Amino acid sequence: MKLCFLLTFSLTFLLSGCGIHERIIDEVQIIESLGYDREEGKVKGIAIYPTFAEKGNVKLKIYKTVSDSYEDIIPRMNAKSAYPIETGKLDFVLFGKEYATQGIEDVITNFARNPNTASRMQLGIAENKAEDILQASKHVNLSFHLSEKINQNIESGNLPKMNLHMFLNNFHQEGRDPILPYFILEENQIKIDGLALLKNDKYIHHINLRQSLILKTLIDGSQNGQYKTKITQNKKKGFILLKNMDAKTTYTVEKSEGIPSIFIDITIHGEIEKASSRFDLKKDKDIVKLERILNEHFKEEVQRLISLAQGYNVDPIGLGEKVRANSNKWDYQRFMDIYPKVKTTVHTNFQILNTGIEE
Amino acid sequence: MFKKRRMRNNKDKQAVTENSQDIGKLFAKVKKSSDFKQFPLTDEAGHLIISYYNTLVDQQQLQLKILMVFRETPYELDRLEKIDDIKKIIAIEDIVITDNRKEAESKLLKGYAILQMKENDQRVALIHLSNDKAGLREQNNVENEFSVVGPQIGFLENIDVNIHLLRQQINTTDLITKEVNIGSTSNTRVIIAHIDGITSEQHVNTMTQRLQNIDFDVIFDTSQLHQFIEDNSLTPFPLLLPTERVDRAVQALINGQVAVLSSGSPYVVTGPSTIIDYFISPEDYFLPWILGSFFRFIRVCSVLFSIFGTSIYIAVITYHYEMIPNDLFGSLSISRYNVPFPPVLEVIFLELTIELLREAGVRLPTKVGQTLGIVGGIVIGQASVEASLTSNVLLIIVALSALASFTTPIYKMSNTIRFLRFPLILFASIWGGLGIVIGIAFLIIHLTRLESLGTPYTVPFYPFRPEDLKDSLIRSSYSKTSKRPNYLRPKSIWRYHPHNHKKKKSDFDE
Repeated sequence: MKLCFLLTFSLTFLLSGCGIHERIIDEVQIIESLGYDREEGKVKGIAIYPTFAEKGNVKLKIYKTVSDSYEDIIPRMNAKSAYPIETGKLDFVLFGKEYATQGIEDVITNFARNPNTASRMQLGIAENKAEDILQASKHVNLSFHLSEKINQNIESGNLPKMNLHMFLNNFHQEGRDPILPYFILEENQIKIDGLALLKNDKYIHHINLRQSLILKTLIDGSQNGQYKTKITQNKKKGFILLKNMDAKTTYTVEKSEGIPSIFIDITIHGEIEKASSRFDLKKDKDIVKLERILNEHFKEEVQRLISLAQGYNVDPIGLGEKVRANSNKWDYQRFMDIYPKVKTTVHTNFQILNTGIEE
Repeated sequence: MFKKRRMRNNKDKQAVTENSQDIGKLFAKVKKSSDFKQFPLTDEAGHLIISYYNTLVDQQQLQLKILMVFRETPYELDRLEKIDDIKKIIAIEDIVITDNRKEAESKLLKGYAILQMKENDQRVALIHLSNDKAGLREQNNVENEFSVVGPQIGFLENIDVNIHLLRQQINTTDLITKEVNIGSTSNTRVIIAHIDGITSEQHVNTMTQRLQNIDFDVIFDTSQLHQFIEDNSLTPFPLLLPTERVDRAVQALINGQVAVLSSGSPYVVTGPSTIIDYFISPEDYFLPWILGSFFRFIRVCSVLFSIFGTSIYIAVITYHYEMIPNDLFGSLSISRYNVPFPPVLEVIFLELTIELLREAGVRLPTKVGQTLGIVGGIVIGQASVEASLTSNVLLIIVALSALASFTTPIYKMSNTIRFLRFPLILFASIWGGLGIVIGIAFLIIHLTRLESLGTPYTVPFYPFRPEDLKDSLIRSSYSKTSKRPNYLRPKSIWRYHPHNHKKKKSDFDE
């Protein structure tokens, strides 16, 4: 009993001084999105914070600040805020293209180290300036909508699975380069326009949404997504929109020593959502023909994407990882040298599950 | 039986013999009371003197069985030569002949009449005329442990009726009742019931010994006895199970527990009990086992919610806003927007309001109580939110946890749950989530160290008894619960043999 008493008291007095400071929900200023830009050699930070004054009426507001390096962006914003700024609910970090070309490692590793920030946070790269995108997002008046935008597109669109955790995994892994969603402004509305390819922590190039679906099938095997393409069937030209692309990809590394060659086998089950009325979709014969056309098309697209990536010397698919998994002697440095020469053979097997029109 | 009591009570045997000499002294003392009556039965003064407490005896019996005999048929007197012959004349079964003053005194106070052949005769007859039912309530509906399905019979203040109720269900000679008198002033009859051949001797002996060691003046209720005999008084948990339901007491006895009944108390205390007993409602056994298990599980969950609901609210709102889902963040933030207090004060304010309503509701008459519930629950709750004293999310949590604490079938346990919230609230307000974990650790350590009549309180979870899990968190089908729980160490393990009626007969001539 005495011990119990002593323990309680010592815990009360010793632990209460241990820096557990109160962060009462309505007495902190959470920020939901953060943007970093480079302007004339300085770093500009933009933070979006929600204010919940009235019921059902969220207002997004913006803090902006400029500093000569990124570290004290939040402390500088803190000086403008009525309540201490907390990053615990931060779930979207956007980098301007200029910032990203110079490297985002500092920011990322610090978020990774901070136990308050979520590892399911989303990252992104803005086409021009992060400030423009965030400024435009302010008018939406819906909290956390930027990260929701990414999550929604992962769930039902063309983006592969990603978040801070997966970014860090790709970033630290030998044999795969990270990818991030690429944001543009279209008619002053924010749009995810494909994926940005990074080498280590630096922006290299970006691909469009159609290519990002191809990349999605190559990375995790998609289950959804929409894909529009122009085809020629029975000498008729037209567009076709595929949906619910359920893809499985298997990689076979044929030769792991020397210059490896990789056999990629993709099976895609898709549905035709919309098609030009000129196409014949009723007879089995036509469907089979269409499948053959699409097969060819996907094969080309995959090859094109891989050669594009090899051209920029980035490896978003993780071909290096496949080789690493199949080799006894792994030398990342050497692999990076031979990466552009890695041979890939693609085999696709496209099956049309149904041609039903829109749901 | 009385001999035993005397043996225990005689601090000085000499005093007893000395006192027994003098029954006159007893009369001198009791004559001071106005309701004490003493008169000769016949016309002859100083002969056949009857003495009794007017208020304790049944007047009708006195007139029919004694006065009629001696007044109307005087020839009977001839058959009466010495006091021992009284049994032949008076048609009352319980007549004791004694010359012991102590015994005479205690029986006089229990409603016996003292009959002396001559004045100052030391050898007297004690005639049982007591009126047990006077002043006791007659209705025995279950009030506090109500169930929708099943019998609604509860125990009464009358201990003989209670035993009668038990005997109706346990219709065997193996149901043994042992009587102990406790209370230096009240001299209350306390009965220890168990089933011979099932209940472990150890439990019966422990219970008997603990009851016999009680030294107290007036025993009002079994719940009082409960406090004297439980293994550890430094705990908010009830270590023996008090129940007013007959089926519950019978179930306990059948499983091999001991029951203690006390005169004047409608509650029967059974033991040894485990923590899971407090979540079991007799209704579980009347519903199909799937439903029974489901509701039992809901009960356990709601108790956990009731204990931890408000403290988790405090921890999350004060320290761990990160774990609030994005969609909920806005509404939580808005609900606290105008509240000037820190979350702890807010919670304590609201919890105390609810406790206050509950206490007041218990004291008030039923009809006023309902009004109070509405006034308290709706008006005060709504008004305090409007006045920004509390947030409405918290109001929901507090109201829900108050509601959830009522789901335990045993009232004593729901009191415990009410109490347990407060230390956890304090822990949560000081250390947040860590505090709750510390609180849970304390709670678990405390629970596992508790014992009920020497049996671990948390069995079958700790110590782990997989065999006995069948009727713990889930109520298994009757074909699975044919064995008595092992931790009660019953002398015979089988309650019934399920394989005998396993095959469902579908045709009558099968």
